[in-house]
Formats: sequence, C-alpha cells, structure tokens
Amino acid sequence: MKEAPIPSADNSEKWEVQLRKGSLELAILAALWDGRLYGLEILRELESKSDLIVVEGTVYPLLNRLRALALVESEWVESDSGHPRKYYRLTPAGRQRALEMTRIWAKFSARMNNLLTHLNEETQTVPEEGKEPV
Amino acid sequence: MILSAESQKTIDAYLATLRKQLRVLRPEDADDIVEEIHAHILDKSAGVTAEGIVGTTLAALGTPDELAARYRTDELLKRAQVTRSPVVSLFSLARWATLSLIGLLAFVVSLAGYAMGGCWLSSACSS
Repeated sequence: MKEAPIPSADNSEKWEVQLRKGSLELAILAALWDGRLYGLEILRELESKSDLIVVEGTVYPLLNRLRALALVESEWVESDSGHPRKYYRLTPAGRQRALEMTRIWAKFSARMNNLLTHLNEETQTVPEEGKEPV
Repeated sequence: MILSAESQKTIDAYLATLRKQLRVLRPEDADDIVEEIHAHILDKSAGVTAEGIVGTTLAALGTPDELAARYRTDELLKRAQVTRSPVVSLFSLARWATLSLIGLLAFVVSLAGYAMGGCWLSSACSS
C-alpha cells in the first residue's frame, strides 16, 4: 500500500475526528441518564447538546455494543407512528460506568487544561490564520 | 406517511443486503438490527415530503456493507473479550486491521507477538 504523506491540516482533522469518536460512548450513556430513548432521539439529543459529529451509521452499531456489554438494555415499544421503536435505557452497570467515565473525563480534562493554560493565552492573542482577531 | 414505490424498493433492497451481510450474527440479533434500522428510516422520512429524503437517510447510514461491517467488528471484538481465545482475538484483530491503519499496526504487532510466543513454546529459539 502506497500512501502520500499526510498534510498537517488533514492530520489535525483526523485527530479531531478521533477525539470526538472517543467521546461518543460517554455521550450516549449521558444522553440516556434521564430515561429511555430510541435511536433517533439519542441522535437528536447528541446533535443539539454536544459538539459531536454524530454519524448514524456509527451510533447504531455502538448502541448494539453497549447492549452486548450490558451497559444498556433495550425493548421494543409500540408507537403512534405505525411501527414499534427500540428504546434503550441504562442498566445499573451502565449508570456506574457513566459515572466512572465522567470522573475520568473530569480529571483528565482538568489536568489537560492545566497543561494548556499558556497555549490557551497564546490562542487569544494570536489570531487563527485567515481570521480577523476578535 | 406514504413512500413512493421507488423509495420503498430502495429501502427493501438496502435492508435485504444488510440482513445478508449480518448472517454471521445470531439470526434473532440480525433481525433485531434490521428492524431497528428500518424503524430509523421510517422515522427519518416521516412527515418529510422532500424528494430524496430516503437517499439522504441511507447515505448517512453508510452502505449496507459498511454498516454491517461495523456490527460484525463489534460482534467479533465482543466474542474475543468473552472467550479470550487467541484464535478469535487474532481473527477480530484481522477484521479491525482491514478497517483502519491503527488496527493494521496492532495486527502486525500481535502477529509478531504470536510468532515469538510460538517460538518460545517450541523452544526453537532457546539455545
């Protein structure tokens, strides 16, 4: 397999994709915290409340995996739309996992922000390329 | 909601391919997945009169082969976690390898690991 060297813009985009992807599992568990939702409701919840790029073809297999791991459970519920919908809810293990992940997330991001303090100040004084300073 | 005959045909073909590609899963699991994706497509096109909504919805899901591959990869990784069988682990890693570069790297590294392990077991490497 021959690959052209990756330009840095593509590379940073890739990093962002990986970052968002890695957050998706926690985001789904968080979306289900207040009660049961079906797939499309989860997608809409994530789209409206998070900065995640929510790809439908990724979320459904992930829900299936969370179910296999017994972090969520599912049930079919009849609806007025004429077809049943598959609802997901957190299991006790899923609630525990969500809290655990939240703790890890909070600790990690706090330390990361700490490390990035100086860089953060820089980004406020140096405007992004091609953009006017705010 | 009324879907055109053509849209209906597109959906049916999509779901049929998806079901076929999921045949390595338990039949009841595969049926469940197809049913859920069907419900998703119907919900997305409900109340939308715009031409092409079915096409857009299916595009967001990826091709049936891509979508099935994501389910199958998860299934294999899950089995590997449960069984911890070296054969299943290697097999699922091989699948992962076909999907991503990092997976490929992991696969190569683990192959080397297996080779070294085999060498050590057979004492072929000991002097």
